[in-house]
Amino acid sequence: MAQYIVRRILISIPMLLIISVIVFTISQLAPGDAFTGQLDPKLDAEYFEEMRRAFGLDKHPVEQYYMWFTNLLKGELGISFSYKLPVSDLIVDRIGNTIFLAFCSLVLTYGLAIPLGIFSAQRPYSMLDYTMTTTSFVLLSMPSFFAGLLLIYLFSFTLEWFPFSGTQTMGAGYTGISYVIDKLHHVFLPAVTLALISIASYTRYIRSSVLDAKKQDYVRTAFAKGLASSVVLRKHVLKNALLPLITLFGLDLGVFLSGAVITETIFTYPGLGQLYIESITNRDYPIIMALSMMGAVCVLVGNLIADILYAVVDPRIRYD
Amino acid sequence: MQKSSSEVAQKPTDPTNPKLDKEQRKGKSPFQLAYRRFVKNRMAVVGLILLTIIVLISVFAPLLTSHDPLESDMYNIEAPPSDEHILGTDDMGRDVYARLLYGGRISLLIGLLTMIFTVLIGAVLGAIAGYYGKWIDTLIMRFTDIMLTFPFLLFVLFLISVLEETSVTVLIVALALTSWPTTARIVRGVFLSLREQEFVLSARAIGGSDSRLIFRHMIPNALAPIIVNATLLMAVTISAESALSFLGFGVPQPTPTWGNMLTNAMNIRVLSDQPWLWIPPGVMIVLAVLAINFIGDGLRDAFDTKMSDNK
Repeated sequence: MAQYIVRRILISIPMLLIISVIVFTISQLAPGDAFTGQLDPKLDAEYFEEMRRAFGLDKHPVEQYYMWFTNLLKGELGISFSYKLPVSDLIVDRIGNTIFLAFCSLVLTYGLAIPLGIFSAQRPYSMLDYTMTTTSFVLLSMPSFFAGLLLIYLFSFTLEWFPFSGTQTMGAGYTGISYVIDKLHHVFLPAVTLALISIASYTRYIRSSVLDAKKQDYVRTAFAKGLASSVVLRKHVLKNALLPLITLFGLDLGVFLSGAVITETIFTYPGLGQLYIESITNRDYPIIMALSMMGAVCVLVGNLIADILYAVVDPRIRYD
Repeated sequence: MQKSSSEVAQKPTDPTNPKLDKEQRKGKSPFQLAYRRFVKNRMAVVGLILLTIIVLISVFAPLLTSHDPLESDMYNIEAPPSDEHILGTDDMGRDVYARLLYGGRISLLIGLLTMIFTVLIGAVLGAIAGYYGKWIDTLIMRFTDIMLTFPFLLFVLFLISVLEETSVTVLIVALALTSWPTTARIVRGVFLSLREQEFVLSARAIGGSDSRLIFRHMIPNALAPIIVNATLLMAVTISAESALSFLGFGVPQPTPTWGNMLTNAMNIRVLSDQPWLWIPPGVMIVLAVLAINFIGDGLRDAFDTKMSDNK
């Protein structure tokens, strides 16, 4: 097992190197640079030349790549063109919000999908099962931005239950428990938006996986030896049916950044996703490159965690 | 599906001759069998009908509205729905109903073209990797792994950001360049298993060339998973196009697409007071994606030989 983990990490290193080359190359393909759009006849060209030198933009691309990558390893992500601040500071400012959002949406996803999926599988082909299957089909086909807009329209404007932007009430100065409640109140709609599609797909997944498990011989054996159906469900069916969820959890970790892009933009929620969209608009490449690398690292780590966790919880899986 | 339905039409069964009927049933191609299973699947047929309607109203948009989707009615700006403008007008005085119908053309076209290019790239790379194996396989699959490591949306936005301005072509290219890895994986897997099968081995034994083996023997047998993947892919690309256009990185105004019609809703006033501007295009996206997903799922079940045929 330890050997497997080490090997996986070793494979990840060349992959990350190639990814960094791709990220850098794409950023080099961009026409002009951060200062092209700011050309102002009142400022003389020498100022821009100086700025370009200060940011190292006058050097050969290979040299620039080497500088960027070695700094990346040192944790220095460069200076944002538009904010004129270190990229790492900008990320540190926002990462908490994104993690909080992702955490809340994960709690919602698992908290709803597991009971719904099991419930559906307990009464397959019932009215309720059909309703849930249809609902999840519609949710799976709904782009998350449209779902988010509908939620804002319904819960923020029509019912006025939840706020539709920010992470907390401005200038309210809440502390203690009311601060937490205010935060949760603000994160609720974005978290639901982010969770909707996963709730739908997990419910379907759990439903079919529970249905599959119920057909197994060991379940029939358990019933035959006279166990109560609740015990069979808990100890025999669910134990096997819910195992693969662990893998999905790892994969979720990997994609939380891209999911946040759309949700955070709709809800003007100051997290990494919103920062990414903002830097795409401003062509702020130090930020774009840093966040792209971060996204790729998240996926690699998420996949690795998924594989390891799966082997830990399921003794039938052996890596060698 | 078109292929199999025409094949069915070419070989009408003769009801007076039971022996012939039996023989023909024995000789049905996998596509004919899949077609039979598909038309029995209620969800899939509903999806097909729904998609046909959506395609028809987009294609025949000029017959369904007299308004030009690009023309501004300066006397009716931000008008609520009325007899003249069924779904009202937007902030430029353009008829929302007309934009909805014409927008479908662009959205569906982008979905279709992106799907075709994605499948071409994915199928070719997957076929090469699966057929030749060895270091070619390793090389292509490592590259596929790397592509899959990039979160899709981040990567598309990154690609689009380096281009001066977005257009329909840019969008199709960007989406196709980022969506092919899953197709490549599927096709490679199918090719790996086909390569070892007797009919391919014997075709090779009698001296069939690589291209003959690939095009005559392997691709026809790999078509089913490719078609299923392509259908579901089209749903994803329509959804992705709408998301990118919504964020302002897709098809630029004034060309209407369902996605960029929803951009209006970024304005809080429009979002709260003028739902007729953004709910209809959103509903169209959901309906189109839903219909295609139904068809895709129906095709998957129809091609799945493990499923019982219920004859």
